[in-house]
Amino acid sequence: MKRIEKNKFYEKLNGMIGEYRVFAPSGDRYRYIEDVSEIKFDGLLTKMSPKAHFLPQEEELFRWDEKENIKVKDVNDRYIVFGMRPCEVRAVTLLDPTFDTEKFPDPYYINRRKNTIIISIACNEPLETCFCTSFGYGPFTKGDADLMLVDMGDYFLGEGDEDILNLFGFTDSEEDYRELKEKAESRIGRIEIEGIPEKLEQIRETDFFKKITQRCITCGTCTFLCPTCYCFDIQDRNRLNGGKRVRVWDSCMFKIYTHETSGHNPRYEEHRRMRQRVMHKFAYYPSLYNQYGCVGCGRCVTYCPVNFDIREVIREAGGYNG
Amino acid sequence: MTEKIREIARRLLENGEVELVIGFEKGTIPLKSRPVFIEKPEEVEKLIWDGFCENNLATYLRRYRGRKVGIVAKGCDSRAIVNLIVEGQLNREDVYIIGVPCTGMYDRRKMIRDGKEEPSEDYLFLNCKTCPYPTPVLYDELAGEEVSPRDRDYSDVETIEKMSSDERWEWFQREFSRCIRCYACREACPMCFCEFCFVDENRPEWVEGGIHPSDLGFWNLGRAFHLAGRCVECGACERACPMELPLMVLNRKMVKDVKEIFDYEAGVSLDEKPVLGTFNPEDREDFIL
Repeated sequence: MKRIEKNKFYEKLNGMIGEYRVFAPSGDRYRYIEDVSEIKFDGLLTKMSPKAHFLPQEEELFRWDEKENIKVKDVNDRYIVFGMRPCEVRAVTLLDPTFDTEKFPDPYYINRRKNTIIISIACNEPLETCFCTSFGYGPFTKGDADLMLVDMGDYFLGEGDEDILNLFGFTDSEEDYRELKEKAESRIGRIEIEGIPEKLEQIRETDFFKKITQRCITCGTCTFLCPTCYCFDIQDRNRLNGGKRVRVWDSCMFKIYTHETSGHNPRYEEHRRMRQRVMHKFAYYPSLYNQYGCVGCGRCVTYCPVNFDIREVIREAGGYNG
Repeated sequence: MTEKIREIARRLLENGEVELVIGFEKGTIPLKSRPVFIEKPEEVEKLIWDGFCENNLATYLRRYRGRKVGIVAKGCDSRAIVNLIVEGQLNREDVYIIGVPCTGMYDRRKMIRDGKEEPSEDYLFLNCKTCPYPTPVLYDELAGEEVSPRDRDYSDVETIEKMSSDERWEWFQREFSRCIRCYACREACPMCFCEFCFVDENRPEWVEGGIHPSDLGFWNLGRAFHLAGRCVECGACERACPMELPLMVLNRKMVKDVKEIFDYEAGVSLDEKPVLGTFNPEDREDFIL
């Protein structure tokens, strides 16, 4: 195992700002920071997930001038995302098969992803709403992070690529984090997801989705806070002297999301939107990529204005015979 | 109160007077009671009443138009129902109102931040602390003793009014910058029922998507103006907002102005027409430029 004193780590990280754009927890969301003093952990998880780096809420794709000369947005900055939790790292892994495809590779996403060093922090004290271990990983999974830190009080233990450990100046240590890991894992509630994709397909035409959608007010809180939701809209901003094409977040919970030019809306009813969201994560994603589209971070549970609880819905789906 | 609500709900469902009862049940996270939809008499035990029934259930009523529905309504929920009827969104006879005199709801997020588990006056939402109509203004049956109105207090609004326009603009920009355009405020609001919200229009596109400060400002101020003379001060928008924007101070400014200018309060009488939907030759004009 390797270790580094926290102040030494942060000093080093501070020195890297400039060479890298550093995206770090700063209150309710991650921000690109100018100084490590801006880093602020507001509980275990920020409200907004760090997906906003990989898929910004509003992102310019290209612009044009009055002569219609097109300039594509330069996406070659180098980045460090610091402080991601294992669930958030996994969420980025789950975005890859959607944006990094052979047929339609998304250069904006791929460049950001390629040019980003991910430094995660394991979760010593998971929240009551965490259910990550349901998905075959846990609070101490490094996953696709380049470096995973374990908070030991005054210092971090580190696990990751040799060159990054050396870059920060980690030194050898005899310690390990097994005890912390076991303790954290034991605190996490699990949901039973065995057979859920098939079950959801079976009950898709029943009243199940109508029933669970009753309380949903169809706002976009769950989708916007979710680290794996990636739906977007493309909009042109035309002005007299040119314009730009931007990509902005969208949400399958919005009525307008499937509003077609003809006026027809196949998901006008609330439960059709809810069905899309639940099945996308728990049926379509598994069938397409052999992985669930949910990482169990619990944000949707915590911040839903009406306490729609996906853990409960999956449980109910499992036992639904209607 | 919980027992009385269950008793009424059971009777309504058993007698077939309503198809379902919308009320509150215990939530799955701390200090949260959440909307529940009871369709069978044997399910009424789920219903509860406590200081964490923060949502305005009237927001669901338009989904059940033309069907007979029972609803648990505190003072502000009942005002929303009145306003929905006044604005032609709901038939009075379609809804059976189980009125609940309300002693106020507690700010769960603030309590959790402070590590508190027991509610106290300090944690009452501001609009509850200053609630003029804690007892429902319209009901078919009351589930408890009437509660006395509290004194109105707009000191929060006055603080913003006293700012210079530059200060106020800076305050707006700062607060709105946290908005993520999830529209939880709109969806939680019983009065935000437009079939097509102005923010979703794209021909013309009044507000662009994304998070440019001007769009965030236009959305939040635009919504507040659309609620002028219509907002019933329930606070559902602010409670729903995941980013905790101070939305109620905008709405309360509108409520205060409408009261001062037209001596009108939204959702208190079935006989009054919407204030901005009527013209009266005696209306004040001194605010028109």
